[in-house]
Amino acid sequence: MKRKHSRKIFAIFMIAFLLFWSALPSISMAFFITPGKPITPGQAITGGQPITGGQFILPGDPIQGGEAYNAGPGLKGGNTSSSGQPIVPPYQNSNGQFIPAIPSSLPINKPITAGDAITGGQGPSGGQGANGGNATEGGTNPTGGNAINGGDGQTGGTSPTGGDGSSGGNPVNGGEGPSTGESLTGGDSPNGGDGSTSGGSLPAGDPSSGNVNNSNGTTPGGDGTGGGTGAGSGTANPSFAQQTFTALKDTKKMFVSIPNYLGQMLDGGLSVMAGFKITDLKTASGKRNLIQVDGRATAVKGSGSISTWLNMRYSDYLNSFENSKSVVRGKGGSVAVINSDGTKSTRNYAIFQPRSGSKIKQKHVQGFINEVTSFKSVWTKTKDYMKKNWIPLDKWKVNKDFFKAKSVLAKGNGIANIVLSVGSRLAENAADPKRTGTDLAAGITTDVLLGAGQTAISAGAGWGASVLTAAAVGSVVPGVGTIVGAGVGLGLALFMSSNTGKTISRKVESVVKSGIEWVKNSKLGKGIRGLFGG
Amino acid sequence: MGINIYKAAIGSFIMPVFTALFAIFMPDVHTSFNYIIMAVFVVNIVSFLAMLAIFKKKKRPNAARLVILFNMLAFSLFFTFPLIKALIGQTFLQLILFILFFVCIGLAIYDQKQEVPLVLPPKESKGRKFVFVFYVIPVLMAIIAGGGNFIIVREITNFLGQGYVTYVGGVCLYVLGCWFAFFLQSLFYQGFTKNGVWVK
Repeated sequence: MKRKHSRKIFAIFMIAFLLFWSALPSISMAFFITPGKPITPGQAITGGQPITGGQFILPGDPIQGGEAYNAGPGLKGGNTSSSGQPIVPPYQNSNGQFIPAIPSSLPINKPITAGDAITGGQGPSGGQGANGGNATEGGTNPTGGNAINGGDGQTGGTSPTGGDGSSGGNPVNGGEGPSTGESLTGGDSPNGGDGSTSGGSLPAGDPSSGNVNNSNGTTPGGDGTGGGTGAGSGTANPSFAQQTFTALKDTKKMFVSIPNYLGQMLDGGLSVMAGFKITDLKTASGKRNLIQVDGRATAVKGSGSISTWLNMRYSDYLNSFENSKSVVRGKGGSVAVINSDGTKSTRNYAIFQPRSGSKIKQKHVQGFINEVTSFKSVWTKTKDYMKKNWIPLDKWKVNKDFFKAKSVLAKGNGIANIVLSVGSRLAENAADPKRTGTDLAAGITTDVLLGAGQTAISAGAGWGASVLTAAAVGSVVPGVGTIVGAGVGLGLALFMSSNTGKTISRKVESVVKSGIEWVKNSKLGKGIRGLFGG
Repeated sequence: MGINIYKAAIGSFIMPVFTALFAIFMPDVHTSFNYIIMAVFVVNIVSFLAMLAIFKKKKRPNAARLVILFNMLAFSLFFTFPLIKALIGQTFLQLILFILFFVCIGLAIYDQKQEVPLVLPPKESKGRKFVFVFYVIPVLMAIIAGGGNFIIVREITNFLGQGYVTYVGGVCLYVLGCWFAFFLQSLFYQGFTKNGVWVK
């Protein structure tokens, strides 16, 4: 009886709740409809004044006929019009002057004498006044045709002299500003070859480091040997860009292993579609409780290339958890692969699939469950992630993890974000000449920070969804967290491009810019710059 | 699983906060939707308290489960707000979009009553044709919305204008919201009815 009664209450409550949800918009709108003021009666309409008749229209005077038209005097013929002077003058020259044949003596026919070779103007590296001797030679050198070499006539001119040839590398870096160009004062160096190697000091883009290089280059400028050291200084200070691109070579694996939100959407969907879940059988309390793992071996049927690719993704996803062995088993498999020359071959892989149908003691699976659902695990992971990837300072000391190349690359969506950010911000700087190198650095750093924040928030949302599903449904469905996290990440990406998001982004960028200025001018900043070779 | 259902229920109120961020700030138009967002939170809180008061001790975990479901549905609902807000002045269309969202919830229950549901089908089932299409929907939306990469979205917006985020992004989020509603409702329905977590 009690059961029946409680069911009624349940039913009534559910109906009431669903009705409320369905009528939510109208209810919430109705909430704000307030009664207006009552209509107060106005004054009675009083009759106006009667329309008085107007004046009659009196007929005017009749129109009187005008005078008759009198024909005027007849047209008399005048003097015969003279045809004027003949258009063609009577004298012979009336045909106009012939264009005389262009005498061959006209200077036009003279062979065009090539002017002086355009000697390259003194570029920004003209500041190499310290190397003045060489610079002067370059300018006056009749072989200035070398200006073609990068348009730096000054250096081009010196190149045939051998010793300065090394500085020929400078024009390449000419755009980089005075920094690298000057550092190659190796131009003076008899060891021209060394000077050219110093051209590799790409980082000159950073004005701060440029100044440093400049001083190095000019000081030893007069001394050939000093030039060599200038070159050395260029390679000894690898920039952030150099570090990044060097790290790119080593992080192919990372690029593959960090899926972006698209990949997460797909992976989560595939695992849910395959029915991958872990259900609490509630056979006992505590860790003796039995857990059942469900899920198909493959996400999609078929052996085509797309099906194979999807199933491999599913397999990789299953294997991506730290404690996956308790719920996933590996099985050898082979996949048909089309080689670059068009031939087919088979490649062996370990294909992972759920330990489906197994009833496992909870204590064996607890590690996996904690990884996916524990609040503590969520908080710890998020905190560690933020500390490692987002906070440059840890207890007022430089957080070296933050500046590790791999860590930097792991922020946001990994390498893709870094490359995109650099490209995007460079274009932004190119479009706005007011933006300086510090703005560029601040922009890229802001992108990295926002990417890290986006990843952290979406990961938190995903983990939260996983926990809530497990609590409410009684099954751990890892794919839910993955998809929900990716969905939040997608929304955040759009949000950051909305007007509000852009405002937030600009504020973050201004704070970062201030931070960079502070880093450049403080003791602590020296430590940080040291990490980047600054 | 060792998860305290009541703590989970309280924690579940965080989930709609994530998407309320989009609902409040996207797009930048002034509407009364912020009051609707608040109303949803209030309804969920009040319903939780009311159910805890009404339900007997043995069934109180069900109150917590229901609140988690409501919060997850609110999480999905707020995904739809950017588009609905963008259509300010077109009340009929806004209502249709609202109704469609709730239709998705109903469809999820209908789908779970089928032999082979779209979400978490039983292992022994042979599967349904075109099931994959359902899971491709969010991937497609993610592609259209710039892949979730905010730098790409920013560049597209610089090129195409703010309308991209408002309308294209809004449509993607709306579809995603409806998809999440279907997906989560299916999951919870299956858990409540088939996994035996619902205390009888």
